[in-house]
Amino acid sequence: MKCCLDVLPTFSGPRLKIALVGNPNVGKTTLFNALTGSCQKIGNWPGVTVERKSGFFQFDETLVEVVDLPGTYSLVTTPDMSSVDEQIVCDFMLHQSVDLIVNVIDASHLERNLYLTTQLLEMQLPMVVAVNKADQASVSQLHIAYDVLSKRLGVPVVSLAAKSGEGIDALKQLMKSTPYIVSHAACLPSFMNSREMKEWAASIQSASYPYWFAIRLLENDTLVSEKVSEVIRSEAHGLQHTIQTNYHEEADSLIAEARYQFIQETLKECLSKEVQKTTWTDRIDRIVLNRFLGIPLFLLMMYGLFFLAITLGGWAQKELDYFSNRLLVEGVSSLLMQIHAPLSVVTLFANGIGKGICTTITFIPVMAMMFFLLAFLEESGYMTRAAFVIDRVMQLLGLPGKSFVPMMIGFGCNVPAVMASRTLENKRDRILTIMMMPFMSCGARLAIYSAFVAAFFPTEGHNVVFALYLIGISVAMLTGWMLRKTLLQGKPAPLVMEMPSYQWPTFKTLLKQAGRRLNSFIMRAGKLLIPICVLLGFLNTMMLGKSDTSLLSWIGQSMTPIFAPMGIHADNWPATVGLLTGVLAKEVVIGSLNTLYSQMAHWTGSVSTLSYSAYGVMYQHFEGAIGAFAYLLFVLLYFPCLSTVSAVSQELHRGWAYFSVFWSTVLAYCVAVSFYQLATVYLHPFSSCMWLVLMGTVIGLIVAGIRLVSVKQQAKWVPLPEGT
Amino acid sequence: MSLFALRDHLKQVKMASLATLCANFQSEPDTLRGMLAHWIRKGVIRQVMPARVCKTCNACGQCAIEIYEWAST
Repeated sequence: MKCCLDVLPTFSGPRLKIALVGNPNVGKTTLFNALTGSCQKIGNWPGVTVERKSGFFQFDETLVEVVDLPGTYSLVTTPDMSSVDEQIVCDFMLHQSVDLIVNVIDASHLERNLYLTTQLLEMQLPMVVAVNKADQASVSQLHIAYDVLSKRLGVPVVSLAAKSGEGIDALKQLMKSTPYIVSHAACLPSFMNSREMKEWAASIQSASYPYWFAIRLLENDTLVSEKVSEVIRSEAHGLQHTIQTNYHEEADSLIAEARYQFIQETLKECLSKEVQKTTWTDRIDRIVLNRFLGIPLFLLMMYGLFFLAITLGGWAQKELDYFSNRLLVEGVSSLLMQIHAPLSVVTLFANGIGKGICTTITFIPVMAMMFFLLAFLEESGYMTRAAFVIDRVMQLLGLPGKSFVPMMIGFGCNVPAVMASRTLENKRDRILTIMMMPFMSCGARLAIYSAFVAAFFPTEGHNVVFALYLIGISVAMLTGWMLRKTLLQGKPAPLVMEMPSYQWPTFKTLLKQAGRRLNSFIMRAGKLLIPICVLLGFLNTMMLGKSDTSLLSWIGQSMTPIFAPMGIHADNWPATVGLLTGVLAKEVVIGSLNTLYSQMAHWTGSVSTLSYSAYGVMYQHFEGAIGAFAYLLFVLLYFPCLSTVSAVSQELHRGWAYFSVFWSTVLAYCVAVSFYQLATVYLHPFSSCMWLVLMGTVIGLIVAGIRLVSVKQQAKWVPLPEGT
Repeated sequence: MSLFALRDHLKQVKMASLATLCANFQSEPDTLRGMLAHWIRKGVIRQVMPARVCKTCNACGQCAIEIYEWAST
């Protein structure tokens, strides 16, 4: 059998030229391939690098040329907003004469796709609507009454599944039958049918389709504007002005609105969705969203998440830490010693860069596990339910349920969590949500927790991490509640959200999502950690005068007394330095501790298992599990990292950023000190009680101060007299 | 669901995510995108680019969150 391209020059029978027009991703190219097979010519559209595809097929005695136009959502071109694809289609429709337009639409997205259809109908060209992916629509229980759709549109409609070839023959038959010349104005606003408008449209002599030109001119289409005279353009401006005066809306918006109304009325008549009686999603939701089971199930899910992340990730972390230290710190160090490199070079490469990379590497297992499991909960559709479940608790505290979504984002990073608060419509709700975000345990804090639980809580690590996450959420909610009762009074906006069906995520999707998050976390952590480790390594080798005290230890030791009430003693100055560097970014805390404790271990002579001795030194300097947990509480709550502070400042105001820093740091200090003093009350009952009273008083005074400010603010609001 | 109702809603709430708008108007995201595109073209509404501060960080995977805000005075 001969290819159509071979017979093309000599073909003397009837010819037909058709154009495939439709939105992107509706299956135009699949239809094009199904129609033309291998008889295709590929080139470029004039002046641009967009591929121009045309193909041929012979049906009975007719040679049909098919042009596959680029996907477009609209036929209106504007100077800045239109894409090259849109301009190509509009230009083609204006200049090329075709015998038939085949408008390809996606059966599952009729509402969006039919907008272009209405614009094509306005051209009053012979047209067929091909509803593609009809098989997929059937699977989704969507029923389309094609005859009703055809009647409403005034053109033939054919159901297609171009991928399997279903409906192709019916489409070919329609192409050959007498083409419809549509005369359709139902999708246009009433003013387009006025006598004045029709007369004006008829006066556009230069146009091939005067009525269509008239619509386009009223829509400020640049391509059409260039085709008409200055007189017509000024008449169009005059008409636009008249329409706006009469209808109080601009002509182009009224035209677009009429199209949307026509589409909605059409869909009401021809589209129906079969509602399944009880789906799996409904059955699961009966348990997951249950009034009494919802919260315990949510807590169980989170507990399971931490159990798996800390137990499995923690095991891999130990192994990775050991080998990376052997290779990158000890290995590099001994290699440099062998070649008699100066001490500063050894410090730079082994204790600085090597240690920085090691610290970054050790985060990987726990973070990877955590991100993977979070991705599973998100992709499966559970997280949306969690928001709904938590909304009940939030509403009880007067907090907006929508805050939960940013809170969950905060488990990854506080910065996008602050930004995600934009989705809250009410400004007070937004401020409140942003103030809650810094208390969410971000990925960087998880890295700190995982290192501490390895040293202090080897068997109960997941319980400790779970408790820290819950404390973070609780403190965030209490902060929100306190602000709702004082500075940000008002009613929370109700939570309206769509529940997606549950789905079993593919392993590939989860890996991809977790990998993306892990990659950006590691890159960010690595970029900060390596220079900080190098800097701290050097500062710690710079001695003050002839004493054996380094500059860094002097700074740390002079600040440590502030943290003595929470169990950090003078000899544990690296813990203080860790907190100071953590202001920059929380990832840095563990890098600082690792570098400084390693150097301490080095000085005490236990070089053989460097990293484990770093943990060992850390273990010796903290007051066991109590001291470590008090420290972790402080890390959880204190000073948000600089990026978060900057995000708060950008989203709200500098004042709120300062408030966030002040409130979180004071609260962190009070909570950590209170915990430590309570846990060690049997050792020093009198001083512990005094500290507890003092911390309670400090919090009480701050809350009272905030309340006073709020009362003063309210007093300034003078109510308007009634009737105004 | 009307083009004008969508505009008036955003004028009132000033900012909303696509998911919220879908829930509010009981509409498909694609349909709303088409309507929003009309108002964006007219400079009435603009899409907020979330990655202003966190452009180097995708830790949460939520950078694709689609938010629209009222742009007209």
